[in-house]
Amino acid sequence: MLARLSLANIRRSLRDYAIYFCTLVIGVAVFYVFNAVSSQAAALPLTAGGSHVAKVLGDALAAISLFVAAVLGLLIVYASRFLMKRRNREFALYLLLGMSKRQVSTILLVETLIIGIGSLGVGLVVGVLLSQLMSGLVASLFDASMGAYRFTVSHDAITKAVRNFAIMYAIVMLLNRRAVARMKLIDLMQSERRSEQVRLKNPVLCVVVFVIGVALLALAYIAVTLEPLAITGAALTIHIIIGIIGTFLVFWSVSGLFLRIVMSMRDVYYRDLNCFTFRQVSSKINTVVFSMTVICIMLFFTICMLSSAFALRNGMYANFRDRCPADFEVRHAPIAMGSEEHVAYDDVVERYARYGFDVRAPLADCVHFHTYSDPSLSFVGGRSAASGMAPEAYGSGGDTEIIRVSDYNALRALFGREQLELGEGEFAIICDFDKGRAFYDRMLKDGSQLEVFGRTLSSRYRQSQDGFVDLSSMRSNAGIVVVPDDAVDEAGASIDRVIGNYAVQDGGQRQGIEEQCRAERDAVEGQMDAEADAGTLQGSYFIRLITKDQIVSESITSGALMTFVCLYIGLVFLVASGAILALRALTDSVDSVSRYETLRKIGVDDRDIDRSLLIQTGLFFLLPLLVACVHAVFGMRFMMAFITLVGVESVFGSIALTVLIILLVYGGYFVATLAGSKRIIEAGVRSA
Amino acid sequence: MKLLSVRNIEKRYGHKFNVTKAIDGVSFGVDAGEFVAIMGPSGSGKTTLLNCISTIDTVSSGQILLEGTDITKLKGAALSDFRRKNLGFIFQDFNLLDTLTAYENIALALSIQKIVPDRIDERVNAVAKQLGIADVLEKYPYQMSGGQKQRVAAARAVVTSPRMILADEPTGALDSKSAKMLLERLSYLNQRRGATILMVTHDSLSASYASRIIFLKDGKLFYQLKRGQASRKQLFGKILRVVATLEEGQGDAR
Repeated sequence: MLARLSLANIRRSLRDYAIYFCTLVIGVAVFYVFNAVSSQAAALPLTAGGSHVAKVLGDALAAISLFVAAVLGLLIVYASRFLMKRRNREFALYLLLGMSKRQVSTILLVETLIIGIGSLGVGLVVGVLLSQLMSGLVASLFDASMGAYRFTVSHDAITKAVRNFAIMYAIVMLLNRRAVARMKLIDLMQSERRSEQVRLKNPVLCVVVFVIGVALLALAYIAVTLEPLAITGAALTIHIIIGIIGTFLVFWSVSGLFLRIVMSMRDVYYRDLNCFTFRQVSSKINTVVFSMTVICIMLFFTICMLSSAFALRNGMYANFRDRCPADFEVRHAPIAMGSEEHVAYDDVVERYARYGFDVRAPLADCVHFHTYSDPSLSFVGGRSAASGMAPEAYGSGGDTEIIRVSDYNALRALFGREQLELGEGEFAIICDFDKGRAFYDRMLKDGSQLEVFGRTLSSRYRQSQDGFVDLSSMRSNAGIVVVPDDAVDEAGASIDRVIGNYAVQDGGQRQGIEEQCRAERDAVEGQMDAEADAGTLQGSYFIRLITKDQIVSESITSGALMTFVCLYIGLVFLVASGAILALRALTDSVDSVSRYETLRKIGVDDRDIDRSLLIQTGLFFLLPLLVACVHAVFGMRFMMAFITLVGVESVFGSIALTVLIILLVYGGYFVATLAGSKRIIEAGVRSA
Repeated sequence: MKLLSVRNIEKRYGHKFNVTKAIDGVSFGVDAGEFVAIMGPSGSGKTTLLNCISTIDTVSSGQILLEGTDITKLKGAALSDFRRKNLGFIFQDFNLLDTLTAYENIALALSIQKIVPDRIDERVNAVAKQLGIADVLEKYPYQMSGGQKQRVAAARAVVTSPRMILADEPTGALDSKSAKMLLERLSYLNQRRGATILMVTHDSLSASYASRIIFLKDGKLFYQLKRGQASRKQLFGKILRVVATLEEGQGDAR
């Protein structure tokens, strides 16, 4: 009997529950999809490095899942408490009819069970279907061919989803039980008689609070955009907290302020239904200041996270194709212990040969060269203050590397790029890192000359040239000086390199060669350590081995990791924001049914009512998004400082993609809310 | 021509074999400038009749003509258009919008008629003065007494100068003092502004303010009473006698 009552309740309050139910389904589905990613990646034909990446990704997503479960848990508790509060009259009726609190509790328990099991079931089905689409994205993120399509179901992800959501529903049941135990009949009955009190906030106070809120926001904006790279984690937290407080104050005051402004414009206020519409919006916003702040912050984080993640991923993928045009690099560098101690350069090919290895054996073609360094290198004769400054002053660290033009051009030939032209007595600067480029461009524009190894060279170009020496996943060359071959002094020889391409390109064999190269490098380093201990080798050196396969796999790790993590959190935030707003707006429509009845009785057109509803719902959804967008303009400026470090030039595409995702999820909630409100109001009017 | 003429209308509920007639062949007319009260015991069909005239409900058969337009034939946008332009409503439970001030509630009736905001102010203030609510215009419904709320509702009904004002038990939720004040204001509007009022009530005292009273019983026209030269008190006496007959008849039926 009680179960039938529960079922009937759910069916009757479907208009309240529909969005709640859909949100649960989406929550379960998202939870499943992202937890299934690691098993999907495991099913791909990945290299050893790739499977390692998949494992890291799986672990990261599992950790994030805890956070996501917490967010969804809070959302579920919030929503169910909210929906329960709206049923006070119904509970009062049950108690008046002589039902015990225990029985009321049971009704709620059965309801939660039905909704829980239903949403879990539907959510898992939706999740399994969606994750089939996701497997394509997984494959592309891992840069792996999908191979034959396979329908996959991750049992591990199902177990996790069921466990997590079961815990959440259990918490809801416990909370409901406690709430029922605390119910007092008199409170339940009187709750219906609450008279709607319109309290207009004091306009002066509103203005003051608004100004304080905006000032706090401005403070936070300026702080994070002025010198982004110098901000510590703790300082950033403080700025974010200031921003949140500012956001809260703005929301607290904006509805009152907005209403006052509109009211003062009589031509607007007393046109059609405007005075009704604006009053509704204002009172709606007034009751959800706190929720709105939370939603706005969630949207803000979503926008910044998604845009940055997409930008970084795209940047890395684009860059490593461009900045890593060879398979293999060995760099043999002395480790300078303090600048006065000059350690002699050591030829890496000879070093390998000495221990019986041939570093060039696996390579079809290669360039063997070394760079130089001159501690007294300086720029002179320029007009600006930057002239005369040592290049490391802006943070490139260590002495600036110098390369002979013939070596550099040999390398460019290997990379398949055109040659750099340099005349007698000239120099050029190659650079592909933004900050370095800015520094050198200014210097060269001022006509600075270079003093190096006792000679003075003049610049061939008025700006730095795009170029690099080391293989990398990003644009990280902060500046290397290219000089004529006869301008260097062998005494300044510093870092020795071998850069080349493997003789075999076949995947399987290549992996073997790669492993062999690593083993040889380790062996050489071991021998060198032994010699250093024996005293036959002066100074200390390290051998750095960089391979394209390693760079690719590292880029994939960070790219895929960031994309998935941000997409995961972003989606959950969007769903949570949309759901809270939708629930609020829908219940508000239920409360307002009698107002719409009155409007219709005094002869207001359905068209005008629909338009009023559109404006109300639109403003309700738009306001937090709008504020979040303003936040994001500054948040993204902050993020850009870091993104450009990796060498990403444009974030436009990434922002566009983010906007698309927000439109889909958040916009979906908006459309559903609008349709739901319309239905509620029409049904209410018809039944009247 | 009559302002309103109701011709042989019926309102039936139920199925073929179990038909209840809430209104059973009622016909009457209202002239411009009249103040007509419709009386009858509960279940006599008076509210149903008013709902049909106000286009909130539809008739099963018969015609309702307002200035020659058959309003039973109107649909959709034309219907709300007609209601907005020609009718003013006063309800028992006021039906004021709780989020708006008294002023805004009255102004809304004008703004939905697309009247330019410049003209709204003077009209709201004029009607507020006539109804004695000028000092509560800035208050919200929850800050007002029942009588004030009903006078605001009356102001909202007349501010648009409708062809006819329809009032459904306007004094039903008021104490006697407020009720008296409202009725005096209504007859003032009727006499000075020439407003045509059709009022449903079960209260004899309220009905005594009207110039004509139509009695309904079991969905049929039972009796009509005209004030003529009689004073309100004399009319009240007559009404009481008719009501007594009505109720006696009901007692007989039991």
